[in-house]
Amino acid sequence: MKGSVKISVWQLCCLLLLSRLLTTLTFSPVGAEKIPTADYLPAVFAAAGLMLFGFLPVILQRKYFPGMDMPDVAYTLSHALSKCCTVSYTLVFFFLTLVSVARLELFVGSVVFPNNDSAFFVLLFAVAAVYAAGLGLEALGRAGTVCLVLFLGAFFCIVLAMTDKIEIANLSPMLAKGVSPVWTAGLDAATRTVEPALAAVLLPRVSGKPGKALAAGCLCFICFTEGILFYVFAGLGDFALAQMFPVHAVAVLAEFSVFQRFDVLLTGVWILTAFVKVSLLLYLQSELLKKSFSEKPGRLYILLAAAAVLVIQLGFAGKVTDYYFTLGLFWRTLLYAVFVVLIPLVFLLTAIVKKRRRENAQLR
Amino acid sequence: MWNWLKLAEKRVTKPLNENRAPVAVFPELERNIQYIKAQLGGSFDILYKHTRIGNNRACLIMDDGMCDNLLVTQQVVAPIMQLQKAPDAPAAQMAYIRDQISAGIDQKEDHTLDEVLADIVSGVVVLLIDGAPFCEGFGVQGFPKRSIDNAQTEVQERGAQEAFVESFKDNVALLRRRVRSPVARFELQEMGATSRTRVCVCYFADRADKQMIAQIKSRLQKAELDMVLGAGYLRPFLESDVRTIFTSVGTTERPDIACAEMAEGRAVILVDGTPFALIVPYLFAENFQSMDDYNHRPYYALFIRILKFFSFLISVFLPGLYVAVCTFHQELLPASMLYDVAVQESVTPFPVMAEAIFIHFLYEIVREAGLRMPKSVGHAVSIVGALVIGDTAVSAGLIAAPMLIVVAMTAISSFVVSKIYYPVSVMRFVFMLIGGLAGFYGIVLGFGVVLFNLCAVTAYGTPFLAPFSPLLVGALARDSFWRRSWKRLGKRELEVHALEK
Amino acid sequence: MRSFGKRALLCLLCLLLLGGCSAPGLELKNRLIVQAIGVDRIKDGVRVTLQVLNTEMAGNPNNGSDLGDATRTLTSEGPTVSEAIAALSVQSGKQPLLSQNKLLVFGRETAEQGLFPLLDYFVRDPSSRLTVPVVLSDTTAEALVGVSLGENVLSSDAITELLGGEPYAPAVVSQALYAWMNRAQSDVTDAFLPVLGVREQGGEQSLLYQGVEVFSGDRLAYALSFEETAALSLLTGRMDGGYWTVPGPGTADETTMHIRKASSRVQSRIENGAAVFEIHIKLTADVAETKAQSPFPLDKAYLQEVQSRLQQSIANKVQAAVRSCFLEKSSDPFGLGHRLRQRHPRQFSAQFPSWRDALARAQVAVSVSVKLERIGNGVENL
Repeated sequence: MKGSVKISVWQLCCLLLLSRLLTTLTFSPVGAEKIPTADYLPAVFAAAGLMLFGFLPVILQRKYFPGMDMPDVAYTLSHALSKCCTVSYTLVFFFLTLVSVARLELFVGSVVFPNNDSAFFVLLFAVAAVYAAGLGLEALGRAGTVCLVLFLGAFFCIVLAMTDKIEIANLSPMLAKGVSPVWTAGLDAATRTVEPALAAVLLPRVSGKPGKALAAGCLCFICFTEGILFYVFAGLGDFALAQMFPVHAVAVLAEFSVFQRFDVLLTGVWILTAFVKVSLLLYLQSELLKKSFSEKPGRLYILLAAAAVLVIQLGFAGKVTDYYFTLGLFWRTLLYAVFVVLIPLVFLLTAIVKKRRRENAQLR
Repeated sequence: MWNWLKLAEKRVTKPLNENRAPVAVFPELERNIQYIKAQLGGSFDILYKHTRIGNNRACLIMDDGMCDNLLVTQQVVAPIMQLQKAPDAPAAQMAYIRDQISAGIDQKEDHTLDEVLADIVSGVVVLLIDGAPFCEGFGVQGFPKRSIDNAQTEVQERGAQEAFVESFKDNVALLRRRVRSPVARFELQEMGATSRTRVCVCYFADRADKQMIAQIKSRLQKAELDMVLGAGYLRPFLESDVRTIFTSVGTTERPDIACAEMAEGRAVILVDGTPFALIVPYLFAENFQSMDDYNHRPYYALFIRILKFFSFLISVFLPGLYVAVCTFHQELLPASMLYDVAVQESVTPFPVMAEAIFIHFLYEIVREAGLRMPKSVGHAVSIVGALVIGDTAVSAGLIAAPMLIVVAMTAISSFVVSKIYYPVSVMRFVFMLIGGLAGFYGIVLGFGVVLFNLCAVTAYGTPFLAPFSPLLVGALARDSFWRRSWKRLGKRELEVHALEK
Repeated sequence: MRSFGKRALLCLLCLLLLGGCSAPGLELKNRLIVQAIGVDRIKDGVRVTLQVLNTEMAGNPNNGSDLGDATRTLTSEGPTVSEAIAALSVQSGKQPLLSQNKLLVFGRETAEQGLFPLLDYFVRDPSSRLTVPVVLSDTTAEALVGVSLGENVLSSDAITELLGGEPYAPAVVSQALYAWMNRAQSDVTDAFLPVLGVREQGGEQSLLYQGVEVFSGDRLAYALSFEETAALSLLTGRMDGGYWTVPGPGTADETTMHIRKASSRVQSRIENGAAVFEIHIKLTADVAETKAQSPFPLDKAYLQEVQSRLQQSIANKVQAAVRSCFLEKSSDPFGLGHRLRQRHPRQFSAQFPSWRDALARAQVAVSVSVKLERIGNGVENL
């Protein structure tokens, strides 16, 4: 994706981090593998490692094809492959949008407005996201930075207010069942979202060296996730896994003087973060479709994608049982492995070989 | 429906006068005078003095109200009347009078009658000599104008007490006095097909981005306006392409602020007839800065800026949050406060959202009335406002006391950041509606939409939310919430185009 | 196309706002502000007693009432807790607001039959707070929630004030809902709850703190003595103050110590198939009051004697309390088993398939170190 609009590498890092942190916030034990609570703490490192592995295609892409996104790399192989790549990425992002909106509706319907029909609020969210996506990448990048700062500020307040509720005794024994639960939880966390795919598509629009930003983002993710999971399980103990949204449940415990419900801070940043993520996904879908098809109806693509998400979410999904389709570890792992790691790697390696051959032929 | 609206608008408006070819000054004096009389009509303030200079007939034309009669007599009429020897040729006579007779420095040669007409109505005495294909204008302006006064809208505790006035020449003098450097440039343009208002673009040549200045001038030139009676007329032509509730064109009444903005590489636009200067580009963060911040010590400046920022948040979000909490999220209120609110709200007949919108609307009516009405009856408005809103509404059970507290806090907070009072007022109503319909969720979404909107705005290459977004640590540490000491700050101003990212 | 998109978006937005009009929130005047909830089991279901704020009465400035006069109780019955509460909504025409609930009370008999089925509603409802204190009533929850002082119902604030002495008295313990759930669901630790009772004297009712009772799973099992409660406070880090009286220095003398800070550390291990706990308690104390037959100076020897007696007294009582629970009641409300499992999870699972059966073999050693800091303003006793 070559365009004149560029964001800095740190803005990209903020966007990816927000997307990743939202997944942590919305962690729900429903449908997830049951592991002892303390094992989630080392699982964060496993998740970080698996995510970094997922960035391998992106690193190769940056090194061998600077200024090109994955469909452009596929284009060097064949026009049809490029279109297939575009469509597959669009579908992956569409699926992720659906998952995010589904999770948001579940949260809104369960916690924020339990007595109201959540469809109205999802509709409102979709309209706002369509508007935000239409404002472009620069606005997304800048807003992402502000949202990340707000996110970390809210998190810091909640942590401060929670500190006196922590009891180390609430943690279950660590590694009591060996390391396999750690890897399971790590895989579960890593495959919940597809930041490497986002980076693969956004890379040409990023100025600066991504290495430092990637390392900083990874560190931030580890610190935040470790912190929040520690507070969740040391505050609530095993009871956390009996809650639909453990992170929200622990925020409910946060109290400071007369201020009792700090979870409202978390709700606010949750909605804001979901808003940034869904807007980014809609924007990327539009950009990919513009690339493969016509450039003119850019905003129409955003509108269509949002409409499709709404129709599926409000028409077919919306019941608690339907959220399960987004939660199965096997399917998520498959999606992640195939679309985020395997297919890009195959394209990249093939393109690198082709490029080398061409260069050698030219040298001769 | 939209086409119908456009058609309806066309019926009541006329297109601007089309540009026609300029008319050259006629060699015949009578013809010139007739043309001028035809254009100016029977205006009583246009005076014609017929005379002879040597063997040639001449005429002095002036606008009585726009000229200083003493200067006219001393610099123009008397020297011409007392002329003993002059060349015979009309053109030579004109040159002789211009170079050797007239005492003033402000002189101008006009070759077209359009220029002559513009000069006459601008307070210039025009000399026409029969046979000369041009005329000479002598600047002797002396129209009535206001003397330099205190700033009315930007009151500073320790800053200068001078403010701009309506005369742009005086305003330029106020700026020149503060920046006695040749880098300060003041470039004149005329705007308004009929009003021909003079607009001066001021900037520092060594720091303003040349492209930005060219863009500003180009936008002003392309602006199709018939009359320019205030700086606000130019604002839409200078603003960013992305529509936003906050303007990216600032205004100031103070010459010290205008100089400071110019020193940061911005352009200041003075409009003749308006005591407010426009500043381009203008960033969101500047709404929380004032001259006093730079006159106090940094720790106090930090305190005041944080105070202003929180006042802004209170004035925008507090009513909406109150409505949202009372309608959807009662669990957020601490227990003792909840009881008080519940008890008070139980006796009022209206829903909280309706109550909030009603009382804020009433407040805006009282505020606007207080602003517009004569000062002699202003205090009556305060009494009525306080009684009606403050006491009677609560006693009658129409409004709950906590709502009154919310209105009061909102009102006072909004005056702390008076520069953005108007967008804040509108946003407040929007967020009240959103809070009443979609609760805290809606308010956060609304905040997100506003944030995105502001992030999308780029003012002449500079992001509107800089240095917060994109995050520029150097600029943040220098002069955002925290202002560094003048020992560091004073070396060289941070130029606004350095914030481009 | 662009303007069409804008128009479409605008129309959608207008529709949204209209849609929002049909889904408004509930205003405060339509809510029952619940301050305390009592749940009792009855023959065919449950009886729920809500203590609510009477906003109409409190809201009228002309009747001279204040908030304390504005509490009333509502009772209803139903097959389940949610149905009983729904019946109350029908009764009052308002929906309950549980987020300001300050107290959750269960009757004694109800607790003896098990609390999990009754607690599900409170855990599942998003507006109910997990930090709400849970207490047992000595009789029925209805009696406690509806206890009155004169003509007015005693508000939940007054009831929970009794639990506010937890940091200052070793025998006062409070328990939040989520903490109780954690313990009750654990297979190695037992949950406990404070018990409050209502006493009637001379036609007037008053509240009484009656101690702590321990659960086995979710069923009420037994009551803790004062010493056992003090040991519980010490070992669970609840004691942040309190008074402890020790005999001495003379035979008829007594010294009351004010404990300002208390902390405990438990070292646990498994030896020869038995759990071994070494409990180290650290206290900071001051001399609060002395009672003696004859005056004596509060000199170094005296202070050392008192310190030693306090250490001994606390160690003996804690040891006795732990042994009593372990041996006689096969119960571990102190969380010692959980700590052992945290440290040695695999050994624990292998050696103790049932922790309750292993309690009898557990060895406990308690050591106490006291730091005496101040003796007050008097250098001699009176």
